Amino acid sequence: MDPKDALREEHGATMKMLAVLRRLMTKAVDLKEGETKDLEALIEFFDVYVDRYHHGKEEQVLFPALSLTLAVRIDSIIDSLIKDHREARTIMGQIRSKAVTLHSCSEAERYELKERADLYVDLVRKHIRKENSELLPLIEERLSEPERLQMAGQFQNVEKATLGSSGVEIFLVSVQRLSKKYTLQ
Amino acid sequence: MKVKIDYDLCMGDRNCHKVCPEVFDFDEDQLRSIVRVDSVPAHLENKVRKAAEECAPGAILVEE
Repeated sequence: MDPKDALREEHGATMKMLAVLRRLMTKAVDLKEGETKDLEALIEFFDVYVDRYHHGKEEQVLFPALSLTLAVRIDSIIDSLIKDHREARTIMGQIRSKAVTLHSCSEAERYELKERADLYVDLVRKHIRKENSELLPLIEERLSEPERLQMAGQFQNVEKATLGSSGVEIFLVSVQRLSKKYTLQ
Repeated sequence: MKVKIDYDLCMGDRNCHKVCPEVFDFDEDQLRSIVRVDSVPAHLENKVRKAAEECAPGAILVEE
């Protein structure tokens, strides 16, 4: 698959899971057992699929390739995107810590969890829109077809290294299940 | 036909604007798509359906 299309699809799956996280967190104070499991599945998705796999493709392959094209402003855009990745990683770490001890969390701590989750959703939504608007068009503008083909191969290597033999399928099933459960499409 | 955008899902890739610029516009400040019309003219309905099909997160909601 063309690198731009692959990243665009991953952004789509991520937007769906951000919407699920926001809806789930409206009940943060009173999560039922099944919903706690859904929160764990969401954290796994954002840790592995979004951060290790998707951000891995961007940071190890896409950003260095675009940086080499010396496009105007590209380095400042990439710096700002990497900063977003780091911030998202930090916030997700805080969410994970709270989720692990959720059964013993006070009401105030559960509100804190919701506040962290809202922050994460806002940050990543804005980040995806920024990438789609400013970064992905550069793949077609700046990279030749052979370069894009090579990039597709490098993306597959990142997939193997980050997801192993199980691949993306398990995460896409999770997106479908949770989107349906929380009344999205 | 009516069409609206779920802003929780719109990822701002401008694809809908490319497919049907007569109906979809792009908000450069918010980096997300907007709908320009109250109801979709009949001759543009197929283009709007195509835009909805191609929207990866399913942010375009079509009411037939």
